Amino acid sequence: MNDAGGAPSSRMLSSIPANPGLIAAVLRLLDLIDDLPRGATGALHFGDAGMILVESKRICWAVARGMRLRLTEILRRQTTPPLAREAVEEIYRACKDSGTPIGEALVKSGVISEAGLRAALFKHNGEAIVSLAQNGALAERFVRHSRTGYDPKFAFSACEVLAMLGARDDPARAALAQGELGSILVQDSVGAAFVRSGASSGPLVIAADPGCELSVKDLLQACHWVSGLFDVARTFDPEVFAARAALGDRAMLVTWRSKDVEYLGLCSSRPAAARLVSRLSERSTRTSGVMVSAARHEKGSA
Amino acid sequence: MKLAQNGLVLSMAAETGAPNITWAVACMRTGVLLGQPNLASATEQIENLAATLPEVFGTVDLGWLERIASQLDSEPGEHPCGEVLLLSESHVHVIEPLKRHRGVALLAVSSAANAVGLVLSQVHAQVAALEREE
Repeated sequence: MNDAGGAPSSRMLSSIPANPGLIAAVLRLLDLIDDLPRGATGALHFGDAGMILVESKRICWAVARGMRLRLTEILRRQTTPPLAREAVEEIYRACKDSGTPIGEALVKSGVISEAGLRAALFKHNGEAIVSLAQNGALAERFVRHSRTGYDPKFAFSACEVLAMLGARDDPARAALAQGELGSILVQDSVGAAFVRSGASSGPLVIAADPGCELSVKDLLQACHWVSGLFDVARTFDPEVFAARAALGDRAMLVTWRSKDVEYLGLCSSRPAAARLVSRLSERSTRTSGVMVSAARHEKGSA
Repeated sequence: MKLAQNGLVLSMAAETGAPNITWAVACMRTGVLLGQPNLASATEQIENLAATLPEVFGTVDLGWLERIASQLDSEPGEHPCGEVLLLSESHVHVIEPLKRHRGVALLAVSSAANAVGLVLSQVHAQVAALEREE
């Protein structure tokens, strides 16, 4: 997990292979969440296979039958060395009596950080969703809850979960992409990173800003579109490094490529898009300058 | 700004300090230029940019663009996708769909890659002039 509270590291899902069949199954499951009515809060039940708790389409908790790791075990491993089992179990028992969520109790007691809790929940929920998808679990019903109150810091968008799975293809590349999003995105913008990979028939989303709350379908369509935009643009100008498109009267989509990763920034205002483009332009100028200087230096040395 | 006899070819008076911009108008569905660019030397660049139009705007379903815009609290425009700006190390390329001439876009290419704001400002002025013309 990054310091800014971004998406947790994909390395935590080492047990999950990212193959096309699994990605398609997870996509179908995330579509169910995206298709819930706006603001829907409740539990999506998959019979005795498990369930997913959502609040305003964000995933707060997921559980699947036969999961390898329990949350308490994942929480223990958030520190080095791992927390003493007895200490966690003691807090767990107290939470059970008081009805307090164990993660929040651990944070309050200073045993783990908020970032550690978020990472643990992300891993737990991700494992559960993938497990449900792998087992072909079918959603039976959505039971609405009248009470809300999950802390948004500890809930995850469908895009984040999709990125977590895509990141398995190359965790180091995904971590770099997450860093790129963190350093380039500006206020009033959210974004995602993707690659074209054999692991999926279309774009493989490998990183997503925690605030990216698009439906996974729309995110993938946007990825397709910007890929095509770059492809056609580079047929006549191979130096194209960024593009910007207006969406309606205010919003803008900004896209850029770095190495083999493509990025998408969605800005809710024109000034935000201008700042984002400005950052990309500055970086491009700096990079070009360095390259020219280096080339000159090499030439001089030869 | 003056339009040529066919009403679609653009020319622009040189302005002191203004970036050098090549303009033309093209059909967004076919990518065909609807007149000659103002600067003959850059005809190929404009033709290449025009050729991207069917790919960029001809996607069967652009509903996702509208949904994303709506999610970002943006009111829908005439076309789900409006102005498109392509930035390269050496050029700025602009595609600006016209509101009063549906299916037609103003295309602009400039080598002033470090003056995007100035290029866009001129593009917007050109679009406004074009939209005023019948």
